[in-house]
Amino acid sequence: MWLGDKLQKLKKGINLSEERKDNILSDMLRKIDAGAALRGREAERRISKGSISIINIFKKMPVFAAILVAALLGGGTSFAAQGTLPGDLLYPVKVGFNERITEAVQFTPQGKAAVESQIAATRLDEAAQLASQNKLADNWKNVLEANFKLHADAAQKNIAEINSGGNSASAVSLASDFEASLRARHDVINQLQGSSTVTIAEEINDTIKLRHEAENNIASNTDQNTGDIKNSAKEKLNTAANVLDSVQGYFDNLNVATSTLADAQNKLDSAKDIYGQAQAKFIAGDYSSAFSLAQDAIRAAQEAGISVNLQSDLKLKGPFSVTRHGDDDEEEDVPPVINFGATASSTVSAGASEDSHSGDSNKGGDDEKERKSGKDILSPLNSTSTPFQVKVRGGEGSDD
Amino acid sequence: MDNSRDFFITVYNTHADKIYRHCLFRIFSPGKAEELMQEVFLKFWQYLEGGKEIKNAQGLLYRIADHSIIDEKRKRSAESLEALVEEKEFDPSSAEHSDIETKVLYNEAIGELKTLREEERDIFVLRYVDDLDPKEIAELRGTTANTVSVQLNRITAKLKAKLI
Repeated sequence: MWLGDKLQKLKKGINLSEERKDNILSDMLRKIDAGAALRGREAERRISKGSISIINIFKKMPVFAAILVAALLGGGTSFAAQGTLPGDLLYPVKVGFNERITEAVQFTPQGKAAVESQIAATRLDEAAQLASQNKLADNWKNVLEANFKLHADAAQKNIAEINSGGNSASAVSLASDFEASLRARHDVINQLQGSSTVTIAEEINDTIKLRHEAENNIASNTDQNTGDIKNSAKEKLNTAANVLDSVQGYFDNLNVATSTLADAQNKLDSAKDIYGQAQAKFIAGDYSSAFSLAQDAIRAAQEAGISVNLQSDLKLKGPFSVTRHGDDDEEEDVPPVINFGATASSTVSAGASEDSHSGDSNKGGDDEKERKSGKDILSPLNSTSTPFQVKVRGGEGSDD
Repeated sequence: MDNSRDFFITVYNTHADKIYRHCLFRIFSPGKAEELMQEVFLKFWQYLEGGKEIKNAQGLLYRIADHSIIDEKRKRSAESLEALVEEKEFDPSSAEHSDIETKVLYNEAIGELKTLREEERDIFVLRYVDDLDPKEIAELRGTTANTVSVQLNRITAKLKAKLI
């Protein structure tokens, strides 16, 4: 048989399994959605700037009129509302219409968890933006905090359902993405206000517990499904490599002062070290540990990217700033104070995070020593850590 | 977004296996082929999202795959997971295709493909794995169908001569 015939015969027998194809598609769609969320924030800023005159015209109108206008004008208004902040005329359209619609069209726990996570993060971004403009009034603090908690709890509920439904790998990914998102925002807000935010810290700890539960599920099922965990670990390693490359690529193109990038690069290098450990575990056949470590690397890189993205959005200056070339002539901003539901007595101490990694103790042994290995990426929440650990920018959730 | 997403899913479901096989027979590593397939579709999405008109989704996928494979070959010297685990044997994740006959046939085919020059191998894969006709291959390669036909005839003669 000549080669042409061999290839013709072979190709009929070489396909990916339907399950594998579905997993790859799900992974890609998650990356696509994460990318869309990032670009959405960019678009929001552009729309917000372009809509100022329209918003000013209607600024004196009551809220119900705004919703009526939205209904009459249709999609354009809904789109314009996306970039609004609390206090803006169209903000009720964003929260009461746009977000409700987005929630309503999610038919899977995965989709619901992703959307609720994103909305919770949006509330924190709004608080940070308002604070940076010295417009975070007490009434809005309370509303934003309550709404943040509502959506964060909804996200966690869906993640818990996914885990109990047997899809622990998906639950780990979603919990890890949400954790990175919250940690990054917690750090930024914490640094801005000089004290911690109890509600965010609590939600982070709850999310960490969910992730640990899902990881433990994966570990306990390893013996029964070695092939599955091997594929999952391999897929996770590939995703981690892509995320690390993306963040590194962003660093390389950020065009900022070397001193600004130093800490960020350290953080990313630590993530790369963890990825190396994940590779070693994979080669040694310890696929469960490889999976967890790869997820840790993804989360660390994501956290770095989101933190700097936020700093850049807020145009923060100061010791934990992102300095873009060409920004030198801009006015110095006074770091804003965000008192987002926190009081002096509610500062999260190291002890309060009893849990950020309490689940780790379940794993124990050398694996955990390697995972922690003195790197602050995986350290529990601790508001007493003063240096801003992340100063680079990357894409959110490019992972899975 | 929803229309683009639906289109993307349809294109993926239609072409995923073809692109996977194309990558597999160009770089001979099932794991890396899977990675490249995903990369190809994500780039396709970026193209789609950019609002560019797509007249021939399959053609675009193969063009993206070509670029990705070239990039991959350039990076080959770098340490990779596949290099570390040394995926020398065909071990597709799908159990239904892991029969002995397929493995033997695959390894023979890979051995023979490796005797071809890279450019010859690429055209041969496009013709006999991807089932593209000379005109479609010519469009991908920016040449004429006649040139592709001549190249294919030479490759065929070269391979058949080895059987005698």
